[in-house]
Parts: sequence; structure tokens; C-alpha cells
Amino acid sequence: MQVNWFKYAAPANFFPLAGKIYPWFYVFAALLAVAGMYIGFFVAPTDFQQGEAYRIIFIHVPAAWMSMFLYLVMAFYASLGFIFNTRLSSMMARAIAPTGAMFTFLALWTGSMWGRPMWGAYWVWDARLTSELILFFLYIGFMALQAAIDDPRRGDKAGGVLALVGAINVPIIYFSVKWWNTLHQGSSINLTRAPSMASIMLWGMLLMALSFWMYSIAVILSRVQCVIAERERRAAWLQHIEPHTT
Amino acid sequence: MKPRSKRFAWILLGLVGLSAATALVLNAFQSNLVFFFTPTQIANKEAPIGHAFRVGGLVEQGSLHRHGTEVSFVVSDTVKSIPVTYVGILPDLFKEGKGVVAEGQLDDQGLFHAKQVLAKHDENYMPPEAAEALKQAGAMNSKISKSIVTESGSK
Amino acid sequence: MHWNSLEAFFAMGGYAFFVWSSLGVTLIAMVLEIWILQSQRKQLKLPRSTVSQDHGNV
Repeated sequence: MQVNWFKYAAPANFFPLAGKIYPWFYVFAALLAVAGMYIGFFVAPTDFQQGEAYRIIFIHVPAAWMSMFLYLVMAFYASLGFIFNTRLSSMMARAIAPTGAMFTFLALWTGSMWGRPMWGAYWVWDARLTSELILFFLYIGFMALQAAIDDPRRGDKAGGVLALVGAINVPIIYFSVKWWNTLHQGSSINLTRAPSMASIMLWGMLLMALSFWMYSIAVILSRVQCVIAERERRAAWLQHIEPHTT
Repeated sequence: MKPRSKRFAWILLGLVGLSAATALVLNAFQSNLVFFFTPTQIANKEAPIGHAFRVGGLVEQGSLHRHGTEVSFVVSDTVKSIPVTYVGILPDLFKEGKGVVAEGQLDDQGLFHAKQVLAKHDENYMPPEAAEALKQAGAMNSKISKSIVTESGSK
Repeated sequence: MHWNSLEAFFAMGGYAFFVWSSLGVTLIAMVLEIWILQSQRKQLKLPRSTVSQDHGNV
């Protein structure tokens, strides 16, 4: 058996590991979501100014956090792949993009569902909302660029540049409410001062954030297996993996 | 679809996405990313008077008057204030002492004719009982005005 | 428990449309993503996602 194990070392080792652990993250995500939703929708009290409408926060803020965090992770992997020419990191970046785009869409959607009853508008062009919309286009642009280039290695390079350049948008989103006059309120959670949120509300939100995090890990590990399988279809090591028939 | 035309479609989609993103960025920077002006900024003639713009601040206590469908109130940043008139439905969170952003035009008399009124709330979330306790302790107003007025007013 | 009745829970203090459509779209998006991913795995003949001890052949 003449297999160049050195060449395929990283994906070949990573592939079975990802397959073994990803279902567990779905379980963690579901358990955390049940706990978070229970606290958010049954235990947490009404808000003093927004009434029950504030409960959108239990989805909106975790989704918005994930949309920014996943972009940073994607840009990190894409640039690793770009600089060190490691294939697995570029494949991770490809696997992260669709989930990041989904969370960006959810942050925008839940935000507009929150904005209409509270502010009086589904959408305004303030700095926070506009920069989050740009994040959505960056994810879409990254995916379109990768899909457009047939040669996967060249696609990795082009995507790496786009992901890295776009990363500047993430701190702009985060600090937009500080740097400019926006309709969007400031952050309730800060590193420098106590959170301006009742602690039971905060717990619900943090549990949901953790749940979305676990969900992302599960989906991304599952998808990176698809990316590896597609890319390395002819690689010798994959031929030895017995396909399940179930 | 042929692979070539499929790839062309993806490139087209990518280009549309990127140009949309660029257009948005440029548009945002052109208007200097200012969503609203404070009454102080308007008094200092920093706002584009003569064009439509937005004024933001707190609705002054006791300034809200309704005449049929017409409402009038005063927007203040605790230093300067601007009288506003508006015809239409106010958002649920619109209250005296709370944040507001109104879009419209300033007339020669210094009266702001709003076409749209948006409520700006702060980042504090708590049960009503806690808010009541804070109010009684007198800490509430300073907390709210700090998060809405002084931060944005100083910008 | 915060709610007095099931109706009050569903009504969400008059914000039912906004709260439930936020939750609903989130759920739909996640289910859709998992469904697309599973059909992709099936197409590539990858093992199905089951939490079990039997991963010896992967």
C-alpha cells in the first residue's frame, strides 16, 4: 500500500475525529437551548419598558454574537490557509461561511422584528444595522467567490484575501454604537462595567449563546467532513472508509 | 446548466454582492455615519439645515401635547432643546423622559416638522419592580440620560 | 413561572407576531441547514449523524 500519508496527514486524521464528535455537539446545543428557552420564556420577568417584546433578545443577541465571532474564526482559518498553505484550514473556512451567513441573517431578521414594535421601524440605515448588513454581503461574497473558482486551491487563496480584508468590518459593527450616533442602543454586556441587565435575563441570554455556539460546532464539523470528502474524493485514504448504507 | 454558465452565474452573483457592499460602505461614509443630530449640534449649525435630517434626544417632561392627530413635543439633550411637531402614530416606546429620534425639516422659526418619529431605548433590561425601586432611589433618570444623552450628545 | 395562562403566553403581551416570528424563522433556518447538510452527507455517502458508541468503522 503506497499512500503518501504525509501529504494527507491533516485531513486524514481530522476526518474521523470530526465524524466521531460532531453529533455530541448537537446534543449539547439542544440541552442548552431547552435550558435557555425555559429561562428566557418562562422564568425571566417582563421588561420595565419593552414588555414581552424584549424576549426577542434571547435569540437576537446570541445570533448577532455568533455572526461576528464566526466571521473572525473564518478569517483566521482562511488566512492560516493563505499564509501556511494548509488545506485543512481553508476547508474549515469554507465550512464556516454558510453558518455564519445564517446567523447574520437571523440577527438581521430578529432585529427587524424587534425594531418595528419598539423603535417604530423595521429597518433604519444607522451604523450598526448597515455594518451588520455588510457582514451578510461579505459572507455571501466569500461563498460566491469560492464557488466561482473551479481550482480549489486558487479558490482558497482568493477567499483568504476577501475574508481577511472583510475582517475590519467586525470591530466596526461592535463599536458602531459607541463611535457614532445610532438608533441601536449600546451594549448591555461590557468588559468594563457590570451588565445593565437583570441577572436572570442575562442567564437566559448566555445559555442561548452557548447553545448557538455548540450548534455551530456541530454543523461546521459535519460540513467540513463534506468539504473534505468532496475535495479529496480520489485520495487514497478515503477509499478505505467503508460507506454506511443506512 | 453548463458548468461554464454556472460559474459565470456565481461570478456575477459575487460581483453584485461585492458592489452592493461597496456601495453601502461608500454611502454610509458619505453621510458620515451620523444617524441623528443632537439639539446642541443643531444650535451650533452642524446639521444640514434646509435638508431633511434627524434630531435625537430625550422627550422633555411635560412637553407632550396632542391636538387631534397632531402631536407636539420638545426634544432636549439637557443643554439645548428643539420643539417638534408631528402628524401620525407614535411608537409604543414613545414617552416623556425617554429617547426619541425624529426625521424631518427645520423651519425658519426653529420648529422641527417631523415626518417620522422613532423611539430610542437604552440598553437596560430589568423587571418593572426593579425599575420602580431604582426610580424611588432617584438613580433611574441619571442612568437613562447617561446612556442616551451624554454619550451621544458629547459626540 | 411567569405566565398566568396559556393564552397570555401565546399573546406575548400583544407582541405575539414579532416574538413568535423571530423564534419561528430561527427554528426554520436551523432545521433547514441541518436538513441540507444531511442530504449532502447522504449524497457523499458519509455516515449519518447518530450519537452512538459504534464508530469503529469510521
